[in-house]
Amino acid sequence: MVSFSDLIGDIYDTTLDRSLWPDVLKKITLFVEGASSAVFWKDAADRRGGVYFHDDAMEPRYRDTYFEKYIKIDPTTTARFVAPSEEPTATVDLLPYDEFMRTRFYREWAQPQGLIDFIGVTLEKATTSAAMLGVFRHERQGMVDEEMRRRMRLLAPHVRRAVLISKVIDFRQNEAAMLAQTLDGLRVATFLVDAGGRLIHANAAGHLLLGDSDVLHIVAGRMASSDRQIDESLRQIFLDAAEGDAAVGARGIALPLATSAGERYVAHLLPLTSGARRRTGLSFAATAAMFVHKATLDAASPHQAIAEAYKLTLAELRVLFAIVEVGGAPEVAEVLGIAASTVKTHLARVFEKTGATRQADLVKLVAGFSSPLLD
Amino acid sequence: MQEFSALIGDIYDTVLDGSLWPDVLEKAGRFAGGPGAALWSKDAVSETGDAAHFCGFDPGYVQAFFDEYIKLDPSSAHYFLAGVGEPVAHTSHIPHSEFLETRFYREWSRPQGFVDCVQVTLDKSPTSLAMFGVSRHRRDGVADDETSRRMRLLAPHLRRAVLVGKAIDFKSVEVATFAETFDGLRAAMFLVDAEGRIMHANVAGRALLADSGVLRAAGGQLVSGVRRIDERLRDIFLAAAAGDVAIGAQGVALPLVARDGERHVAHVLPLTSGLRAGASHAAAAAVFVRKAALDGPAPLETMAKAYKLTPTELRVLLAIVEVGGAADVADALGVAASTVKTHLGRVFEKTGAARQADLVKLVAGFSSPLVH
Repeated sequence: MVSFSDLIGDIYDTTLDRSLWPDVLKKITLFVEGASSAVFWKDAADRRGGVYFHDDAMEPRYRDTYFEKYIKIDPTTTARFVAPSEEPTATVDLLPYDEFMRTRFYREWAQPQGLIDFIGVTLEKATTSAAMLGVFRHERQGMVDEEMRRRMRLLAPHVRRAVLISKVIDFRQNEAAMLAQTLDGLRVATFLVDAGGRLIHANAAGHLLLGDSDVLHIVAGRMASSDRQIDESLRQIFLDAAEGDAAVGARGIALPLATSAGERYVAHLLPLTSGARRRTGLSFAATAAMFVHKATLDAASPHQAIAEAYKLTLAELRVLFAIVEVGGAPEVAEVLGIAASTVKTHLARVFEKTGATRQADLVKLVAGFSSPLLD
Repeated sequence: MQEFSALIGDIYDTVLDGSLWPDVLEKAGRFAGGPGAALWSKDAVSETGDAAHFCGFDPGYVQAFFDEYIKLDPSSAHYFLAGVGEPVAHTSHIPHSEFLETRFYREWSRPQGFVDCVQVTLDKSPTSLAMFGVSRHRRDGVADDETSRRMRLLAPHLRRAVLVGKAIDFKSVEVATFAETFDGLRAAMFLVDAEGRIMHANVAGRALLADSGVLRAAGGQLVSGVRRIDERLRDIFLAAAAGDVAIGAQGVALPLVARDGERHVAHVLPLTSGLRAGASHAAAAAVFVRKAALDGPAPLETMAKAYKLTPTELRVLLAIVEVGGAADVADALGVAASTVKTHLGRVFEKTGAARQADLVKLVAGFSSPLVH
């Protein structure tokens, strides 16, 4: 019983470490008294397939030629696919054995290896394909018998469950990675912190901010400011957010920050109240998300999108951006090297096309199109 | 063997569904020969602890155990000394008659009808122990060798199930936290696959799909309804999925119009293929959509704090940004144009802005990315 219990434990260890499969399959092969085993998939419609894991007990060329060639003429492929899901099936369950012995598959692929039988069990089924666990029997071991079936029946649910658990872990990891990468695409520095201000996660822009400017830094794992007053405010805000303090509210709090050189930044705090987090009480205990950005309009605005939206010509576009970035018509004329009257003409067209009435409106327009993405 | 195998299967079912624990503990308890079973942890230094799951106990007695009787547990030291996976019963180290004399037995075990209990350490750290324990009732009798054998069989599986369960939960919490962070943003965010099927949308995104007419979910796909735009979106998503560097790591911006004519802009960020190895369900791109306007609440408090503006100066600043030039502002606020100019002068001085357009940039710069 102990060795069976250990084997089951080993099977579930694969959920956290896929590299353990070959070893586990060796143990499975031993336990059911087989010659070699594998976890593989087959598509009964296309007659294709592949191996996920194997115990390295079969000569590679036979493994390869099976999926390259013999899978198409393996007489058991379709039959095995339609067999009831849960039951382990051996060759004789699918066709008469003497018929099997006459097939090319047996004569050219199985017999040269001394393999006389195979027992397989479905792990997972899709419309035309299935993932399976299968074990071969060598002629010196004899055909698949009742004891082997019994042992496969015992193992199957565990292998099935382990595969399912692995998939769920993969799915979650993928989800987390996708969202983390999307955060990395944001221009705004985003920090996930806990009640003590400890940094749980920072996106790419966040790391850049910490590296390039002294508006915020990390001290003993915690977000801090060199300005004492701001540091105090930060500590308090982090605590409030963790309490789900009503004062913070769902709106969050905004805190002006500055670098030693006087560059202004703003921090906006969003309390996080993920139900999941509360329930499990685990260490990914981010209680707030802090967004930090420069208090200026420095985001890239997409020239083409604006031109497209308002049907601006290239010259009009240039004037629009110059007005926003440089100054009034005279300065723009100088920077662009054109006559002030030309600038005014283009500007008039821009006002007409955009519906703006003054320069401040143009700034708002450009601000509105600004990209949330990091460049 | 079949029964044991089924029990182990049930134990590992908790990995994907933590709500199964009480049921599983009941079965595990029965297998080990006792009606009371618990997964609990103990801080070795402070002698405090907590039960993660239990069954077959009155909650009042569970509370009493952790409040008081954990310190009177005669087997306490033995849990720490025994190896991981080694069962410790009260009666394995003191004679049963002696156990009956202890306060622990008289005040905690006996009233519940328990005569013994077996504990096994699942995990050990320098300061804490993760335990699985089964309490045996009078009619079950004290723990014996068979009990120990069964506890030894169960322990590694319970330990592993808790571990793997936690690994999944940890990832789930991470996902939930990231998702909630995006939910806090004013911009709509969508994750789409190569075919433009929506895999995730934040709160603002779902709202956008529901009423704006800017974008819709048609058969699960993100569409604008404007053929030219939809063709471009399709091309971008496919290119992103193929890891096509031509579309640039910076992404693409597309102007969109809502049903009410309000202009929006969509920014598309390709998600790199590095992530996607072996993943059949991965997002190809992230799409952010927002109103192409300076919207959201004016960042009053922040700017006042940052530039030490008086309430009046603040009012003038915002009016300049929202209403118009000094004359219009004077009109709107019902004050003389000269008054407006004076305040405006102070605002320029304090903020370092040189012209009205700069003030607009400042307000844009201070604006919150968050939903309100």
